[in-house]
Amino acid sequence: MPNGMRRNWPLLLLALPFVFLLIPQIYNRIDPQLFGIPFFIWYQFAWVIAGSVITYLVYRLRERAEQ
Amino acid sequence: MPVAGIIWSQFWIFLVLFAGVSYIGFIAPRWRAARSLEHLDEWGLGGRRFGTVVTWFLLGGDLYTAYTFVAVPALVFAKGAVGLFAIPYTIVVYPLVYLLMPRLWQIASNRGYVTASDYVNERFDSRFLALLVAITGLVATMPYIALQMYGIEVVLGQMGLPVEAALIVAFLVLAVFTYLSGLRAPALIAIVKDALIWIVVIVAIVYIPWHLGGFHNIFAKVPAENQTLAPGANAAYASLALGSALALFLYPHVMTGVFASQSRKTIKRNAAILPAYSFLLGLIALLGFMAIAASVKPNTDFGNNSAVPALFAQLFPDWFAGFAFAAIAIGALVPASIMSIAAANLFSRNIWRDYIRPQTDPAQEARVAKIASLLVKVGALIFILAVPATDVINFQLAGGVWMLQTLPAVFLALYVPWLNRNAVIAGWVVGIGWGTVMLAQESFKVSTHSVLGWNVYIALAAVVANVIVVVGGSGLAYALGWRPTHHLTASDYEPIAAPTLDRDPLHLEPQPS
Repeated sequence: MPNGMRRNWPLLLLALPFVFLLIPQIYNRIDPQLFGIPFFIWYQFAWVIAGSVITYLVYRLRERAEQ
Repeated sequence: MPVAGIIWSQFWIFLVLFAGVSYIGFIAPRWRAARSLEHLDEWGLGGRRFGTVVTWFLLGGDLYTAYTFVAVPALVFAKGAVGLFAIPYTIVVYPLVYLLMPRLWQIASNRGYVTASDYVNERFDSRFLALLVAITGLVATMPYIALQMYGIEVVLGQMGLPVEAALIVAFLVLAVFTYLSGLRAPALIAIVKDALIWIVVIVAIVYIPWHLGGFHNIFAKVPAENQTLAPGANAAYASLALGSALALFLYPHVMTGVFASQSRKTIKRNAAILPAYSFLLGLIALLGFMAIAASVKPNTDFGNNSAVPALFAQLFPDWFAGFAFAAIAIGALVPASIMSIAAANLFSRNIWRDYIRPQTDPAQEARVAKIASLLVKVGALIFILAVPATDVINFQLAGGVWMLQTLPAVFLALYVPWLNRNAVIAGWVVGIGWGTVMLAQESFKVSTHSVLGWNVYIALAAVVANVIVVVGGSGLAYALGWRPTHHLTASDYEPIAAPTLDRDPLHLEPQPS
């Protein structure tokens, strides 16, 4: 892969939280519940963690491509 | 719950914590001391030396304000699931931060910018466009500072203190330590404030559900229609999340927090670790549901905004309720201080230096900023004492709509080289104009409006129109023979290589200690 592409393809991962959070139709329901918490709520909490992991991953992948 | 007199055990623990934190604010200049605070880089940006951890605390205290901690669960308490848009908002903001802020930080560091308007000024070679961006920032920040004081008022009221007198004392403390210590004070206080807030939220999220018989019981008491979005609310939810995320890092106080950091890496790492606060905010939002389940009666003065303080007062022992209230009030000091510093930087740089006294020197710039920080806070205090809180809240809402209209001048400008200055000004006029018209049609009470059959966040609709004007206008200017001139070159956005021993031994000087 050319260097620019190797460095920049991970940026595509950053689109994931937008897709999975900005279309509420995906998660706008009560079931399945987790410990009594509606799906609508725990799905979004799960994405807080996923979003953070994705950003960190992108940071590391691009850092490595730079070396 | 009727507020009857002062609850002393609450009050004493509150007072001790508040006094301790104020002391930290006063001794802050000794932390990583500068030779002199008489320079905006020192007073206004803490020396641009904050590393990953300090930046995490500083931005955490700056973005997730006390008012947010009061207002978000209040919205959930009153309107249900739609109030949770704060969660997707504070998730999708970080990919944007990762993409935009390191580049902006780099050029700010290379060129010595203290505000976003400094960048706009040089990027477009336009003092006027920079002034528009600065004024937008000032106007959006004023009600935001006032709402931090409102956050303090809510907890003072819950403790039964004489609200106005106590607020003025808190305000004086804030004003004096900000004046003396600059950005070092909120950065240092943010560390203590965070420890307090995390303790309160973790205790609350374990203790309260245990007390109320678990999450099953809590959600059994919340009406089912409040646990998910109403049909037709999807567009509002998504556009509120996206629009707020785009606007957040345009705010002057957030810019200040970012520019104060040490390197691009600091910002990139923070884009990955700041979501810890989003999780915290989500937990706090859930307190709104718990307040419903506990049948909390908000007090008459502060309405739904007192839902969480009332919940704490009802379920916690008095001493821990006092601890929690101190955490909220201290949580208000951090953003209020940074906001007033940011507003002062804008005034000193983009109004005083650019328009009133062009020959100003760094020491005078810093003096002007320190005085401006006092005036801004006095203004905010009068604002919250004289104007009904609902109006301040509506004003802050409008501030978000206006703030987002500076997106083309700051964020688009970072990556799109062919923007025409006049097109950006025209876009700003259209965005602010149409945004304000839509707000007026909603009597400034609601931030969503029906556009082309969709009920969407006004700020987002207005900025789409804004960007269309900017792109169309730049195309038109090009067709008429205008060609972009670049006052900043590609290398201005790149890190400046530090001289190393191998390459440039002659430039190695002993570091001043």
